[in-house]
Amino acid sequence: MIEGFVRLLRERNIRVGLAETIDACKAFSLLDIDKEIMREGLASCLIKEEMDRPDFDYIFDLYFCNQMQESKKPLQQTPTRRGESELSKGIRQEQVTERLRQEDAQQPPTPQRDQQRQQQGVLARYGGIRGIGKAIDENDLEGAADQLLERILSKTQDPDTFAQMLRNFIEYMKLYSGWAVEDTADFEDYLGRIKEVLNITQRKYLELFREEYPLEDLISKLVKLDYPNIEELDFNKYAGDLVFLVNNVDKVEKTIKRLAQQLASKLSRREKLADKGKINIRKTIRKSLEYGGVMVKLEHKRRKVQKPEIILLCDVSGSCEWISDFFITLMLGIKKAFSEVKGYIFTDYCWAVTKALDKGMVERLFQEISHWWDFYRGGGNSNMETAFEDFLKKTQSDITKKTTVIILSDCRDYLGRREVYGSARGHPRSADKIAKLAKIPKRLMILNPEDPKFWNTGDSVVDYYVQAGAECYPVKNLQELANMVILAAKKDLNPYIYTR
Amino acid sequence: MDGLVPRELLEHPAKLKPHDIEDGLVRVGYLPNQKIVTTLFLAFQLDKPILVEGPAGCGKTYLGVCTSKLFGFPLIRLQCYEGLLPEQSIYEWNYHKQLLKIQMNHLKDNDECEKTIFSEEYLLERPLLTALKSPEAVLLIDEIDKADEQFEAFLLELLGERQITIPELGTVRAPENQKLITVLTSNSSRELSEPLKRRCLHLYLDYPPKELEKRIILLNCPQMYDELVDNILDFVENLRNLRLQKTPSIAESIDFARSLLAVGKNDLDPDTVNTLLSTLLKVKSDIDMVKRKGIENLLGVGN
Repeated sequence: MIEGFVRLLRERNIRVGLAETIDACKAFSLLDIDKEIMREGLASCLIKEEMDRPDFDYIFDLYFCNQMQESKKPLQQTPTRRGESELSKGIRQEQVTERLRQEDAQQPPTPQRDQQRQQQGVLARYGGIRGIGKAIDENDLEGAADQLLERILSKTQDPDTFAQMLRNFIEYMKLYSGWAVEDTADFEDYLGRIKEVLNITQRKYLELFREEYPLEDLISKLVKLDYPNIEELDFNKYAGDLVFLVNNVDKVEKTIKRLAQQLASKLSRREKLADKGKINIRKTIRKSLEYGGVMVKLEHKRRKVQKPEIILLCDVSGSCEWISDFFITLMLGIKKAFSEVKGYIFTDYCWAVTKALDKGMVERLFQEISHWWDFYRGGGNSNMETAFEDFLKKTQSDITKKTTVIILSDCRDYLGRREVYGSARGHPRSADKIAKLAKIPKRLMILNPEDPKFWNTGDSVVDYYVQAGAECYPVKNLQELANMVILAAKKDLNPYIYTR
Repeated sequence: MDGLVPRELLEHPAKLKPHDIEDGLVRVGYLPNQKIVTTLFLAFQLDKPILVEGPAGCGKTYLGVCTSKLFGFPLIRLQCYEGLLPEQSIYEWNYHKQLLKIQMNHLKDNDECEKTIFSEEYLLERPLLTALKSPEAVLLIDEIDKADEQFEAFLLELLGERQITIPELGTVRAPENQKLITVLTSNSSRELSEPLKRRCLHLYLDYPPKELEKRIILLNCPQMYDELVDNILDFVENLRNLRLQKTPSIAESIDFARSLLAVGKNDLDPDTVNTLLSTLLKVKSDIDMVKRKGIENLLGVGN
């Protein structure tokens, strides 16, 4: 039962391990078959990130609830939704016991039983239920559940009616047990057994529907959903969809943080090794006084943790329009993941957007970009020579040896001058600016959204920039970003030193 | 110490039901939702730690404290901070005592001395080891995200296998049938490692819905009028809708309500709110912003 559910979760890229699945199976058998209790119980076992919760809820409803609504017979009632579950109004054993005790106290035994016998007439339409009662008496709970399921399914396959019938069943059994059991302790035990039968029945019912509606169908349904997988997302499809972008900044941030953490732990191991040998003599002697002058502990000098300073320069020219949403989400994600981040956008000049980044406001960032488009004459065409020159001027005091400059651009220098004036070929002047820029910071990286096979075609000048000292990586979605980080980490220096 | 969950249920966990936990938590002054009850129930039944995440002031630490009262287990608390070392949290050798012993045995058998000084007598137990050895306890590891990543690695053995390996002494295992409920809290100031998350049940606490928050305030300030609590919550909600650096949490709403009682006010007037604003807002720029917007407007008494 749970394995299928876990498979669906994995289809949605929610990472669920074997250990979690085992926990969920145990929880499944421990918890009451109450939709909301089950939902919370499985969620606590299976998901470890709150941002996965909407996906989880959706799949939970699909797998355990809505799914049943679409079984062979048409529905008579409105679909069960979260919080309105019929099953969630299930019966607590103690409540029933308590209620029965109260009833016992209020009424003398004989009239009550007479009344029960009268009610039995009403409930007799679930005829043959005595057989189930007998099985419960004999402690054959599985057998009782089988009988009950068979009896109920012969009347309905609709889950809501099924739930109602189960409730009627317990009412009936309550009455029935009034005759069958005299002693209170046994009576509680008996009610416990009834409840267990209900649980088993409901599990069997769920499994039955699972068989009728194969997992593959559910998976195909899941894929058809307009609910993309963020890591392999083609951002082009969602261009301009602000709601989508706002919702996904957190996911981009998480991915960046996860990537950064991989690098940070690698680096901290290296730092630890480097720490050895640097003994702080003064501190060691002072510490040794505690132990009568014996140098029990060596004290080491502490290394200063360098926080990364990142300057982002994002291309918003016409040629990058298709990917600019991803770039902007990426900028916001990087800003949220690291503390020292400055942002600029450019076409033929550059414009600081650090304030909008600081506030993490996608709308504000888009406003600034559209304002920039209206205000400047670039008209959406890039001139990287003037843009980089402007960038150098504006960031003169900011770029230090600790800084990493990341340029998000397709490197298509449309209006930039070449060595041979008027020619589309030849050394671009902007490459000189890149060479100048590459001298100062720790690292200069270009994330290019284009497929590498299109690099250096037309006005693309990737090779010139790489020769000038920049590193260029193909990045158009988070999957490629992850690959890029692995590639970038192979160099000695890396920008992602510590997460905030 | 006796808790609110009957001893009999603790001895026979199969009999313990989620609503026993729910009732018990309410009685110790913690109003839980379904999520909390179910997770705590599973933590007890599956013998797994709980990782509680959520914004500051939504009752994460208090859940740990109340769990201890609920089960009647002693509370062992470890407050994490940057640079927390295993010596401060798991165990430490008592160097002074060892040194004295070495000096006393100066001329005697060295091997014997070495065996003696690395025995339990010379071991200083820190919270994690104390918790591991206790037959029953609630271990509250507060703000785990503030500790370094390396520290998480030390926790894995304790959380997963219920044992701690001390190189000189061997492996210390938890007593059989130990009832240890571990609650880890985190403000998500950094991402926790996958192995740690995998070993825990995850519980995300958010600010409660208004109705629940009202019940929480009334539980803490029983003498307060219903209407006044409603007014307080409306005001706090208005504050939360502003783009503040630090939005007021439940803890701050309770402080505000208590302060109102302390100054003997039965209604919310702008002057009183102005005086007590510092109980709700902790950042100067936030206080300035609220004053700029006008407390009257936020109270709904302005024009």
